[in-house]
Amino acid sequence: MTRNRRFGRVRLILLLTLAALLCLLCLIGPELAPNDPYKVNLLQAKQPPSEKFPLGTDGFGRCVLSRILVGARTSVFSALLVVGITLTVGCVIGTLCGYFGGAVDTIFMRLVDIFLAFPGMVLALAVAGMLGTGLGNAVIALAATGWPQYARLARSYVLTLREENFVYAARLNGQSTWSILLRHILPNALRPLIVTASLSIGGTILGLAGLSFLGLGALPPAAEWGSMLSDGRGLMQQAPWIVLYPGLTIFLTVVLFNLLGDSVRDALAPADDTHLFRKVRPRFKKKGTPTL
Amino acid sequence: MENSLRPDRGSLGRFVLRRLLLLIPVLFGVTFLTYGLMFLSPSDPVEMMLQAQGIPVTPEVAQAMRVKMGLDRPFLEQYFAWLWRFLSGDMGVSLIDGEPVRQMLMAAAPKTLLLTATSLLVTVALSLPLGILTAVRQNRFSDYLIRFLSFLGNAMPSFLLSLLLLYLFALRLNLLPVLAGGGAKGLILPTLALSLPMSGRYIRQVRAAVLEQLGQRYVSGAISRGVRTRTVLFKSVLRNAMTTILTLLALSMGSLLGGTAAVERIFSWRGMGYMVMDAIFMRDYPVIQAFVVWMTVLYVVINLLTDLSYAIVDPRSRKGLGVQP
Amino acid sequence: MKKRLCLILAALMLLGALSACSPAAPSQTASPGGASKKPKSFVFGVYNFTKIDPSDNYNGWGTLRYGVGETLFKLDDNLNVVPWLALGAGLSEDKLTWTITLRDGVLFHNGNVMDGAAVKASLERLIAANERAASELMIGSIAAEGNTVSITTSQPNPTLLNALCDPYACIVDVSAEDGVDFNLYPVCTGPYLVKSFTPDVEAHLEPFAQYWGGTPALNHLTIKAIPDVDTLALAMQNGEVDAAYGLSYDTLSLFSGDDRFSITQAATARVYMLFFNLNRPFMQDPAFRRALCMAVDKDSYGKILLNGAGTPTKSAFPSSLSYGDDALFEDVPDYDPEGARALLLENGYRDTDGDGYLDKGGQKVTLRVVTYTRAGLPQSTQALVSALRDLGIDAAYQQYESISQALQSGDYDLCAYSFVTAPTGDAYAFLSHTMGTGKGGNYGRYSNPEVEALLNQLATEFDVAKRAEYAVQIQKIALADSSYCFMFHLNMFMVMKKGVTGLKQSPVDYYQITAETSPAA
Repeated sequence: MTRNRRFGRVRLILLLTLAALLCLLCLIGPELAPNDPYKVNLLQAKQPPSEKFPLGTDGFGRCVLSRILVGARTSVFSALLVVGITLTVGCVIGTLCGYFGGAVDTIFMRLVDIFLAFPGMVLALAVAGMLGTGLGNAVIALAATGWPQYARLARSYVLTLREENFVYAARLNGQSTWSILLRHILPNALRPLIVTASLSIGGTILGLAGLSFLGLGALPPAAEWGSMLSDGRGLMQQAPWIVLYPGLTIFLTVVLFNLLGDSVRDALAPADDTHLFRKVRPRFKKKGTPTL
Repeated sequence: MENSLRPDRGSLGRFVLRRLLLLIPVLFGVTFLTYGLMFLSPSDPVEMMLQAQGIPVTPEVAQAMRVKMGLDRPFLEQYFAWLWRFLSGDMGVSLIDGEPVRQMLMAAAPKTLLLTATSLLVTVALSLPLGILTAVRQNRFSDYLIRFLSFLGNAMPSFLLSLLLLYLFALRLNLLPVLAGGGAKGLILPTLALSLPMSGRYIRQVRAAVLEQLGQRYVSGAISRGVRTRTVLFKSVLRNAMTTILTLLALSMGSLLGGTAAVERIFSWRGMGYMVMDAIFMRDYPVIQAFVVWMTVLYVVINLLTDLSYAIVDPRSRKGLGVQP
Repeated sequence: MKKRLCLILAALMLLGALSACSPAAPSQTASPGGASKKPKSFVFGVYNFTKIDPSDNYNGWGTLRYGVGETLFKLDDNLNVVPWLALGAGLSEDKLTWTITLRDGVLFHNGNVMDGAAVKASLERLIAANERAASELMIGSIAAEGNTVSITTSQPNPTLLNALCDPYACIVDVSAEDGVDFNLYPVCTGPYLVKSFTPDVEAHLEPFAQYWGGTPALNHLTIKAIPDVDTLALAMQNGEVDAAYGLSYDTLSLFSGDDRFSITQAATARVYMLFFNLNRPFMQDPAFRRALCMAVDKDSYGKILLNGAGTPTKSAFPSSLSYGDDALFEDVPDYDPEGARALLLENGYRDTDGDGYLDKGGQKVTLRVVTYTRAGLPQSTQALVSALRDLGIDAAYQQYESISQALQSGDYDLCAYSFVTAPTGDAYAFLSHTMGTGKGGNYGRYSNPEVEALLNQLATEFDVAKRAEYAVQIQKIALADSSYCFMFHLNMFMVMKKGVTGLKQSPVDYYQITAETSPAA
């Protein structure tokens, strides 16, 4: 069991490092790009990977690798921004509702219900349709659908936290409400929220890429991974690298963040009863009952 | 989902009623938001409507149109007028070609529902057995393999998967048609494109839910009493994990309802997602509004049904006792 | 027991969803023809599928393309007016009355005879419904007698016959309009009539046995709407359609090497051009506009972006027409990025504040370049935006599915647009529409009194040579100060399965399905 915990910790550190590296890459990506990601050079269009263009060129002769590197910033940071916003907003609202209750609680929870009533992308599509396309609107749209779940979570944790002894003690001690909130309630409520947040980064990246693919997110000539896929679709048979590499990049990034999310969850909220189960399993075998 | 809500002891009817009553403010809020969004738009709907019809936009013409459509009234009045018309079946006409939105919806909705239903079916058919399998065979090879594959599936964007599937199965292998055509054959690829990523996610959740159950005392208790594993599994564990599973169904329905747009476009599947994409690019507000309202209503109803199923399936919530196999 | 209840609930939900599904699309097996003939069916995949009431806007293009309707006259491959439903026309001394003799034995789809009265009714219906038609035909009154129609124009109209070739002039049987929606089921004279029509999805047509031009070759024709051009290409590759129109130019390389397909391509009068919004600050400087024109690499765009289907041009008209001869327009600059740079510098556009962009008079040179999604336009425009940025201009690109709003509101600096410049084989329609003051297609709000005068003369000049001269002069004036930029003329093409006959790309982009169209044997 301890071995498991240690392994979990190592994994977490490893993944965090990788994620940090990815973020670093997003920041310095433009510097690393071997060519200008926006420069159109028609004579070099649709070239397969070569020394000059490590991942080939697209229909306009732009370097695919450079565009992926530059697009990393848009794709990854926007997703992180969305998660950050939803986490903060949801946490704050949920905490306030849970702690104070009363009218504030009722109003905001109704609001949460309303926003939760919108299925996934529908609100994003509505926002895109009404406010127009563009990365900013896509971020707003995804953030608007995202915050309710954090508010809910925060609220339910705060409700229990509120009754804890140390809170009573703090109140008896004369600590101000805001101080209690900031020093006691929020840090504890944040834990499960961070777990949820890290688990949803991958999904947000996919969501943003999906919106861009549809033409509702970043607009050309922006080098966002999803829109690169949509642009390259028409040349998929003649020049598959235009679609393949951005697609692969999205995939790997999401894999990384999903792994990270799992790690964070395992580290912060080990509610996994597998250790109990392991005690049970030998009994299965001993009894000689057929395994399924 | 209302996780703080539990039905009154033994009274399913009252539970249903309460949930239905709670629906009303939510639906009001949803429609209000949807209608209000239109006014946040940077372009003037009247101008756009005139331009779409090719009528030159002059201040007089625009004002006349505004009055005719009632857009010069105070916002709340407009909202209620629109809501009233909507509820009585008049969902307006498309700004592009004047076709009644209601007709467009009736043509498109069944196709999306069909795709959603089959995707859901396939997801459940994949996730449930595989999830249970990995839970039971925890840490064995099959567990790792399935978990690995499902992890990958979860990370795959559905639009990329659609393109790959289309290329592979339609073009290279020539097994399936490119044009979906609305029939059964055309349903296969879009369903796969939607259900594989979802299964990826839900296999792991089913696994976690089942594992959680398997770790409970009553399981080891039953087994030590000589009850066969299979019986334990199906009678008790599944039933208790059902809550989680139902939640998954409802959530996946949610992501399906909005998320079919890309897949529908790639496979030319003329559902609501397809319809709304065109509407979005042309700023066809009535269509977008109808889409949002109906999808949301559907989602809300499904959540309600799910909560109902909770109450039926999870006796704990009603009797407050442990479950007996 | 509870689990069962739950399963039942779930099943009910699914049943509800499934029961709402629509019936499968009608099968495409052809209705049996002659006893010994094998049923011939044809599926035509198109990227833009509209309703087909010819008098509605541009929907007549569909009526003509799908073999449903016909006009009195048509244009041959050299854009000359030739007889079709009419046999010929004579013009009165005062140049106001045209006497048109109709072909004998032409029947409408419902069996009615197409005679003078029917044509008169059809044309009157047209000019009442379609403003563009009314202004191009300039019909004052129509008289019908037997198989002759006499059209008296309100003023001398040299291009009446050309206008009668426009798809809006498909002859319909007005008497059949009672209770029939002509948007879906127009009653015309063509080889095929509509059996069922699902807007935006597909139409099923069957042959008109009494077609005056002979028995149509097909037993069943399906027009399928596939607006996603990538899907259309895949469907063509997979053999799910017999022919496809509207494919992107990228796909030419996919099909041209493939033995299973043949491509029919023709140079058309469709031009890709740039509108300059002459109300915007920088756009009012002719030297600036000239520099912009010099930044357009027409050759490369045509060859690479359009896969060779674009022919660079200086004038609005293809070189096959005398008034489209590029040699006449020496004023128009060639592609010369260095020259553009120098020109901008000369005229005071320089980067004084070191931000990487040119500025003049304290204003950064920022341009908003817009276009829409017609095949080839986005690519060319994006390439142009990149070239402008190379020059130091802060050009931003915006793409629309429907650009009319941006154009009407004037919220743009440059707009890349596509027009068919000689839709009826004559220069007047296009020139007047796009260069006439206040006209609907004059998106840049160009206005020049000399051009106005010439347009008025062109409107009434009957002598063909003189018409050509006027057309050249008008273009010269408009192009001298770079108020417009014509980039290239497009080849339009259709891809079809090898062995398909009777389907040829016409230089006029609205003749497609004919009575001879037949699938591979």
